[in-house]
Order: sequence, then structure tokens, then C-alpha cells
Amino acid sequence: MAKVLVVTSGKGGVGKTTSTAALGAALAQSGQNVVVVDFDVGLRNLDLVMGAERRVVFDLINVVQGDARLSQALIRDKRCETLSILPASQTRDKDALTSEGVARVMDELREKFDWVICDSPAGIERGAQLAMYHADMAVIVTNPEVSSVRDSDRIIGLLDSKTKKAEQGEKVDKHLLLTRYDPARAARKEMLSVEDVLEILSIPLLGIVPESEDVLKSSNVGAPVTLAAPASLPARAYFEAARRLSGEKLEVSVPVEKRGFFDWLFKRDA
Amino acid sequence: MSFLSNIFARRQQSSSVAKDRLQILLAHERSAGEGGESDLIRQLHKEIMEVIARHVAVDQDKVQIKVDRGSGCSMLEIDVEVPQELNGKRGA
Ligand SMILES: Nc1ncnc2c1ncn2[C@@H]1O[C@H](COP(=O)(O)OP(=O)(O)O)[C@@H](O)[C@H]1O
Ligand SMILES: [Mg+2]
Repeated sequence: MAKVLVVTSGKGGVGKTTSTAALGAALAQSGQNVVVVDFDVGLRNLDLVMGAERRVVFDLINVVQGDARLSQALIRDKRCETLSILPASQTRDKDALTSEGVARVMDELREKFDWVICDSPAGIERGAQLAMYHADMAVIVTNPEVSSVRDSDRIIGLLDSKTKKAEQGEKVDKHLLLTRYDPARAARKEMLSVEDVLEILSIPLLGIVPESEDVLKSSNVGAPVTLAAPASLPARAYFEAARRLSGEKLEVSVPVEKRGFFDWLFKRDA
Repeated sequence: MSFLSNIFARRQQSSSVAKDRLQILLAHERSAGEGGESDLIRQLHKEIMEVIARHVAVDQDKVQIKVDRGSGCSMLEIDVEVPQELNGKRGA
């Protein structure tokens, strides 16, 4: 059975697009068929992070409006053949996304893929609600700081009330992904701790992704961090999170670099 | 290039890739304006399909359109799977 997963947060800039790409590529590398769908109409970025920006022809709105077939709008990743992207429209108005149209596209995606991962726009308005409406599962991306946690709480409320699952009296399966986590600042107690965030939001923890320059480098070259730097700390956190999403029971650990002197010496690669 | 700039050049590698990618993308987005470039592709696609449809019945799902935007030029690739029927006639 296909799973529809929304990656959401309320707040912008917390790592939704980064996480969508990284989790998508991690699940795809395990052999499952994955599509990542950009719902950020007008501000598409998932194509850039995935390195597909030069190949975009049609987008979600074209498919919703019947100007293109789904198969024509899907772009297959060049490095991982089980991974595809459905881009958002850059030029059209987000009102062009009708609820019925999105429902039809999601049904079609469910038939073609094992995982449909929806990258939500920031905010709590219509765009974010459309992205989450069909979700079976949600990854709530949160940074350990007050405004991000507050916005995550709002989003959790919406997931429990404004989704198809909620309307049917069921629950969206919610997971917390703590990103841009800085172990040094956490140790100095300058940041909310993992426990603090978990206590406030009280949803299960999917993973802790450290703040890392590997994320930036990967987006520079247009590859999910789980493809560009699979051995890096953030990639390892995303691979483990992907295994948990697939149902494996794994202990979540705080990612710390275990490096010898020589690793440290040669760490200056690009 | 000095020894030092050599070390730092490696650090800059990914950012210069980022710059190149952005320059290509933004050049296309700016010249396109409101949907311009994709409208052109859509128009080409539509008219090419009309011509083909005059001769053979094609399943829209068997038509793949690919674009690769470059700095100097772009590639437009339209892949049409021609139905068996026509192949059969030729072969027989
Ligand atoms: N773990 C991380 N370490 C360092 N930078 C990160 C990390 N996660 C995200 N970023 C950076 O934060 C910025 C916002 O990330 P993005 O995924 O676009 O957020 P959103 O989609 O939630 O707006 C980007 O520049 C991205 O490279
Ligand atoms: Mg985003």
C-alpha cells in the first residue's frame, strides 16, 4: 500500500525541502519507488535541491488542470532510478490548485509509487493545508527554538483537524524531526533540548539532524544529502529516519562526529 | 595559483557549481517572464502532436517531453511511441 507523507512545519526555513529530498532519496535507495511532490506554488525549490531545475517541463498545476499527463510531468532522478520529482509551478497562482484536482493526482500517484512525499509550503494557509490533506503520515520538521516549536504545535493541530484522515475520524501518523540541531550549543544549554521539545509537542521522535555544512554543499551541487554525502552525519540521521518511517524500531541517538586525528586532518574536502 | 588559494579553491567548489546552476536557471526564468518559456514548449508540443495525430493515433501517455536547459542552448526532446499497427504494416 502506498504511503502519503507530508513534510510540514508552519515556519519557513526550518528544513522541510532539505528533509523531503533527503528522506525521499534515502527511501528510494532502499529500492522503494518514491516521488517527491513540491507544493510550494510560486516558490518552488525542491527542483533545485534535487538538481532537476534544468529539466522541468510541466508541473503539478499543469497536471491538475489537465494540460499534461502525470507521466509527462514526473522527472526521474538521474542518479537514483526509483526516485522521481513532481515540480511545483513557478509562475501560476496557487489558487489554480483545486482540491478535486489535487485529489485526482494524489490517487494516481498512490498507484504508481510506494511513497508519495509532499513538501509543504510554509504557513498554515490553504497551500499548507492542501499539502497535508491526503497524508497518512506527517513529518513535522522543527528547529530547537521557540518560534519553530510554537508553529509546529499549530501544524499538529491542523493535522488533527483539517486532513482527510481527521474527517474520517482517524489520525495522521505524526513524527517529529528535529533539524539544524547544534550539539555544542545544546551542551551549553543555549538551545531547547531534545527532551524539552519532545515534552512540549509530545509526538514521537523520528530523528535528530545536526546543523552541517554537508547540507549546504549538497544543495549547492543539486543533490539530496543522502545521495551527495551518504556517510555524513546529517545523511546518517536521514537514513535512520527513513528506516523508522518504514517501520523499523531503531533507537534515536544524538548525532556526534566520532573522528580520529587523521579524519580531522583530511576533513577539508569540498 | 598559490598553495593557500589551492586549499581554498577546493572549499569553494560546491559554491561555484551553485553559482553556475543559478545563472543558467535565472537566465531562463528572466527571459521567460510569466510562463513564457514553458508556454513556448507547450505550444510546440501541442502543434507537433497535432501534426502527428493526422497520421497516427497516439496515446498521450506514450508521449514523453524532455527539456534540458543549458547556458548556450536548450534541448527539447519529444519522444512518441508509435503504435504497433503502423509498425506491423511496414513489417508485413
Ligand atoms: N541540517 C542542516 N544543516 C545546515 N543547514 C541546513 C540544514 N537543514 C536545512 N538547512 C538550510 O536551511 C535553509 C532552509 O532549508 P529548507 O529545507 O529550504 O527549509 P524550508 O523548506 O523549511 O523552508 C537552506 O539554506 C538549507 O540549506
Ligand atoms: Mg521549502
